[in-house]
Amino acid sequence: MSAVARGLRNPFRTRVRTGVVVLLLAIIIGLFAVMVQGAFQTRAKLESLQANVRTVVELREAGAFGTGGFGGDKPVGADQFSVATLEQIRRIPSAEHIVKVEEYIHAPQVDPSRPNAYAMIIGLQPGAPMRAIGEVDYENAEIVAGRGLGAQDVAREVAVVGQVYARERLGISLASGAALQGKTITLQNRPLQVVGIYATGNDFGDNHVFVPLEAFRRIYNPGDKLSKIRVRVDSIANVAAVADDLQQLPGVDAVTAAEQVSTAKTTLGSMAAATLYGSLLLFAIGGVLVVFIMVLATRERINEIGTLKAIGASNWEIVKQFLAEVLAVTALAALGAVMMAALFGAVLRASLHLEFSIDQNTLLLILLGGFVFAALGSLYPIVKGIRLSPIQAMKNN
Amino acid sequence: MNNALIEFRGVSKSYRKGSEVVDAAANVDLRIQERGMVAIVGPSGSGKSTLLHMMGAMDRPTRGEVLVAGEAVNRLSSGELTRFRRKTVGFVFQTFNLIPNLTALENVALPMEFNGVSAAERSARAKALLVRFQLGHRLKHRPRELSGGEMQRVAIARAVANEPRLVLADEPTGNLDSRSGKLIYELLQEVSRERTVIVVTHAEELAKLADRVIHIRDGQLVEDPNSAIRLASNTL
Repeated sequence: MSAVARGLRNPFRTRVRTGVVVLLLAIIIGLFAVMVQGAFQTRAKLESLQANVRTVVELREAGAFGTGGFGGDKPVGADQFSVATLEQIRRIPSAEHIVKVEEYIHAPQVDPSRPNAYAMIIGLQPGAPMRAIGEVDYENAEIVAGRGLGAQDVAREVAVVGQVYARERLGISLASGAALQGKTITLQNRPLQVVGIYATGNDFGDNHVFVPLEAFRRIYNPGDKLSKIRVRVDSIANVAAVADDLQQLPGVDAVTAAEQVSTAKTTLGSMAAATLYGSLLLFAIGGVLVVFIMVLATRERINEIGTLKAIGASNWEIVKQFLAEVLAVTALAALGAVMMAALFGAVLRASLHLEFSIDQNTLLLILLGGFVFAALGSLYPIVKGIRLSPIQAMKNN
Repeated sequence: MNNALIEFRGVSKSYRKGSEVVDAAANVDLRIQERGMVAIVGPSGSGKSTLLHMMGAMDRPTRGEVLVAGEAVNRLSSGELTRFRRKTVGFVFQTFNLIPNLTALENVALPMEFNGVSAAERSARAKALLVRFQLGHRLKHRPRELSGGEMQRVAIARAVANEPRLVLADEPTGNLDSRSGKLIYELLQEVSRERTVIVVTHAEELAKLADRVIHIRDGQLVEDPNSAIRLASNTL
């Protein structure tokens, strides 16, 4: 049996200890990989946000409550905020990369007899996140009965309603799949089957109706009308001038995003710093752990090292054996770290809404973490193994 | 006496124990011939093991010269010492010092691996040795599954695996009952027919089985009553 084979077998001599060490290292390396990725992503998001904040101007229909599409209660299709606006923007110097946003087109459904009279009809691409307009901002809608809009609904005339809308206009006091049976709403004299109920926890946000974009177009015929327009200015120095020019366009509100994202900037900045420092701390803890374990293993086996030397093992044989041992431990930990990273990644996705996947970079980080820990862990055994004379080892016994 | 396997020329060994300097060997001259069993006896701390360790190139003298098989081992480099231990010396320890997670067969094969013997050959030779030492039924057993006597027999098989000219045994029966101890001595006697076996022991009774007995006290050779050669002024 070669020195490498002996080294690979050695971790299994103390299975419980090795198991605990591998588990701890797996958690540390896995967390490290996730946190480093998290740090990079938050930093990238922050940079992108900062870049956009500086040079992007968002245009909304004047008086449209920040959403476009029903500004000033004008009839749909009769607005000035349309494809024609794009042509006017092109004529403004320094305004470039015009982005047309048309996922959301809104129309009011006003019923003064209801407690919440002002329900909005929101057209969106089926499958897109349902962002209900709340009292101050968008609210992420969650389905509480039935289902959301999916790919199968692209050409269908179906709707998902808020729970306030369902209670006030459909008489559903307790949201459930059974309560939805046979329920329809009528928009412009066209019946739409209600397939789901959503909730945001905000009464204003829960009083809307989501319908597939195509159905919305068939029902309301919005023509060239747009929901939002984003304009990228060629340099930060020209933002104020371009915003002023844009504001002169008829029926347009020009909004620079600086105020909107200040909170996000602070949060993302803190997050990026926390993940960076957290990953460094984890790395230090992992290093200390692996060094401690290898010091323990080496000291326990000083007599064995002495014996191996006494029966003819060279320094290199001893070094190879310990290298193989520490590599075996860290390789097992790296395998565990892949699983841990998948687990922590899922938590990160759910809690911080960061995109995380076990990709090449994650595997590289895990591999790198494993190698660094292996190198750290092998330092003491190598130094000790080379310096120790057989007689010293025997005396230690 | 040109055919001496071991020769000590004015060898001294001292080391510090706190503020005190201990002389483990003091100006020792010694010659040991090829083949046969030599027992080194003496009280604890008299320097028996130090003498043995210097013979096996595990320790260097403070002064003097140690020649084993014609090589001045105190002048060998680290790499040369490793080669010397592989080829010339086999060790038997009081606490057996078998590698716990290796089988008896793997333990015996280990020195041959260091000596570059092929896997097939070392396995065959290790098996033959263990069979010869009545351990053919224990080939796949690990040390914890063996009795003390069996472990020491595996250790002796390991010591002779590379067919060294010299086998050094430090209190080989110290951890064994008298019956197992006697068996081990008989085995060492058998081994000594083909090579030189030096045994350090406290047990005078067992030392009587040796071809020659060297007494040591306070690092000095004092007499060799069973030997044809008499000590004169620490010279043997």
